[in-house]
Amino acid sequence: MTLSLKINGVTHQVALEDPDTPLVFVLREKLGLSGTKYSCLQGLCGACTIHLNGEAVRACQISAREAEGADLTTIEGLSEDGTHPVQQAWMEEQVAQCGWCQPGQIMQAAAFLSDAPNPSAQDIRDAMDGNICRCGTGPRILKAVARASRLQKETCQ
Amino acid sequence: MTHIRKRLSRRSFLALTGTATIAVGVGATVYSLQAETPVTGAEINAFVAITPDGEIEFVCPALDLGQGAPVALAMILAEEGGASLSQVRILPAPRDAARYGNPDFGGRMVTADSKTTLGYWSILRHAGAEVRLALIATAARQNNWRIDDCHAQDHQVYHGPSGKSVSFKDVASGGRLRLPGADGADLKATKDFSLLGTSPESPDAVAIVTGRKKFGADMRAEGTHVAVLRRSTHLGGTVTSVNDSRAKEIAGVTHIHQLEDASAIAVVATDSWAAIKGAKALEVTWNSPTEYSSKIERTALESALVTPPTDPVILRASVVADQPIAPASTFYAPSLTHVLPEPLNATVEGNSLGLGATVTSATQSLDLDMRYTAQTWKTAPFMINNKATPVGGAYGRRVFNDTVREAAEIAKAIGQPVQVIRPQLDEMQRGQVRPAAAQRIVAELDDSGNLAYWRHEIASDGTLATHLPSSLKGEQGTEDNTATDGAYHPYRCSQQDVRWIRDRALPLPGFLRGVSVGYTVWAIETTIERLARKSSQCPLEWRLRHIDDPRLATVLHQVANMVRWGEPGRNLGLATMEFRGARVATVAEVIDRNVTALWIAVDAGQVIHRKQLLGQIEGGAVWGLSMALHEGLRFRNGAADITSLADYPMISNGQLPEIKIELVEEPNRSPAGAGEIGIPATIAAICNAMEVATGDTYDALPLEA
Ligand code: FES
Ligand code: FES
Repeated sequence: MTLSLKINGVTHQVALEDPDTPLVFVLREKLGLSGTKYSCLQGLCGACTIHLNGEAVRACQISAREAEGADLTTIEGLSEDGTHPVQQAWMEEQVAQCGWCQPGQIMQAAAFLSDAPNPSAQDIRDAMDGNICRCGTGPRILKAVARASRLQKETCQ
Repeated sequence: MTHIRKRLSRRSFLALTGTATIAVGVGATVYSLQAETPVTGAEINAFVAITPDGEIEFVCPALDLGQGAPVALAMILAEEGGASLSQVRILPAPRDAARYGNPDFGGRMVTADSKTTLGYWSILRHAGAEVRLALIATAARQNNWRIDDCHAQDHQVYHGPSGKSVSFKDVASGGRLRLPGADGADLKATKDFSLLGTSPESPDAVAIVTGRKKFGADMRAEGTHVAVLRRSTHLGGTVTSVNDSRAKEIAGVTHIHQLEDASAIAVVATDSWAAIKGAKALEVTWNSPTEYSSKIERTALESALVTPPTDPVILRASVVADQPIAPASTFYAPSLTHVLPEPLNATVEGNSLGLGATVTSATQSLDLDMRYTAQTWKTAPFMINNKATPVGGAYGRRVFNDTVREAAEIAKAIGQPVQVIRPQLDEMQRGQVRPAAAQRIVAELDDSGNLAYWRHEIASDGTLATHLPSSLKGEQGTEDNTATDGAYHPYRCSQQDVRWIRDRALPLPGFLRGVSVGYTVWAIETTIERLARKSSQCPLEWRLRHIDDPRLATVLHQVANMVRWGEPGRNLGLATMEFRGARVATVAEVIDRNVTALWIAVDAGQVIHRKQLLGQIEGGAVWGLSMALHEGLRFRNGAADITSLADYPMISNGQLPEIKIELVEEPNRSPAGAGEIGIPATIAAICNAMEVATGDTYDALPLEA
């Protein structure tokens, strides 16, 4: 069956044997968008976080069929070249170690900051609590989100 | 001119031509012999070449695991070479242990055990000095300068008297390089370092934040199938019978292959989801599980301390007379699982004529991958071509990278290239574990409050002992340093007995950041702190009085200043250790049973990449927090007691306390290993602070009264 998926502003016709294929595999293996990672496949780690109509969702828990008609953004669509304030902040803080979890962390942070442009430290902790980084970059993730919120304000002014 | 170095492959070539089996497949993979170094420029030594454009090509022996080793090694080379880091291109070294093996790793090509910077420091300084001297000598010849009047910096050779300079590009494109070599006297003085100690942006920083960095699991060539294995949830499961008709009906499933040892059934498909669904759809009857449980394991380990099942490995033995003995304290550390971010993966493709195979894996060791593949493929090691991909989290799990074995067996059986992907849950249930350990310490102070007697026994399985017994150390060749690391405490004591007892466990042992040092230092430092407090001595002063190493004393003083040690009314716990050349002192503060802050002072010797070093220490501290407070892989009825990631608690981003780190730096020191040093003292300091806060004693991790 062929589904029509709107990803990063482009509509793709995707032929799938199984329309219940989790979106993460459709992105990675049918569309070559391997920036979206996966670890647990159970909705528990956040590695596969993308935006669905602007909200952070876990692409391992949404089927391709369910995503039809929605506006999807993946890490590849957050900016062309790493200039989104969250990506900038991530580089300035040198957050990444292995980098596997980071697209998910960044997508989580970006959705959060677009809803809550002036977060408190506690808001940031709460927002990032469900994304696992096994390399232990959590302290820098929290700093980078705070920095991104400042950068975002500067860009808006 | 393209120059391709072929040392090992030349040897292989000669070996092969004897049997006249060199072939280049048409329409198949070109048969590639081993060890082509990918340099295009003029070689200066095994690690470095320079292109006519002046670009330095660095053949990097370390794999990209995310700990930043390739960049750190490139910085060492650039510093000594007078090169700009931005003009150093990092190329992965081929599998050629003779040239690229880590001297601190028995000459093997393994990226692990906090030994990368440590092991290659001297070699790469030397290699860098050769680059600098080659460029200076060549520039001097080209310009009629005296060599002694020249120096190299920022990719330029400067001539002092004339004030002129030429770029590396000018030199490299101006004709043959002179290669005068270098020796120890040619190395830069550490006070002249300008790159080491800074924090240049990683070359893949943009690729990571834009999702363009490709890891092993992101790369699968056209036509390569994917395999997912179905294993029993219980340990040691073997297949009794299987009905694969439902799996075969799934669109995309192409093959079903039962592993030769009947430990798993692989479902091969054209895409990951079909393989995962197929593995799930298999109807398998397994042999029966054992009774094994964490309780049984703990009892066995504790009784091994009393009645060793194997000859104890004596680490220290200076006990001259039996002392009136204080009661023993016991310490139990559970099995731990890695929770790897990127699923384990390996691709194996048979070469044309079926002579050998090409392996591509997210790995920590090309050498060991080669062994696994050669054994499984039943061929000679030089017939195996190995490649490593960037890795999404390794932590020791990808050293004994058994996934390549599965990929080799399946690829050979189905006669097609295949990538095995091991889902995280299967790895957590049936993969390698940091083995559990039981310890017992008896220690006594004399009348002046000094350490008079120390007896420390450790019982655990050994990861090296299980997988690579040829690497065991010690006088008898029986010491598994991954089970004894950390046991060599720094305190003066005339009567000591320290021993390790191997007790085999049912789960397969594996390395994990801070394998044994995570719990040996916990047991030691908790005991020390209890001794000091019980005898009304300040734990900081007690330590300072008992150590000989001035560098350790410095970090202790430093952390005491950071935390304002001695302020009344605070629940502070201290811990210290030396590990892989690094000195660490950590203080934890506990308020209402919560860890609210960590202060860490570290002397890691020469700092290479500052932010990476701090990130390694901080990341280690996060693991330490998680191990101290949350982690433990429990077994019940012969199986890991988990059905999802939620059953394995770990610290989360929102629970992190404040972590403050300060570095102690002095000139003329080698860099220390950094990958694991954040973990052990963190665990011990937290335990000590909890004991101060609650008045309880803790004898098990995660901390429980
Ligand atoms: S892979 Fe989707 S939440 Fe873990
Ligand atoms: S950077 Fe490695 S898992 Fe987060």
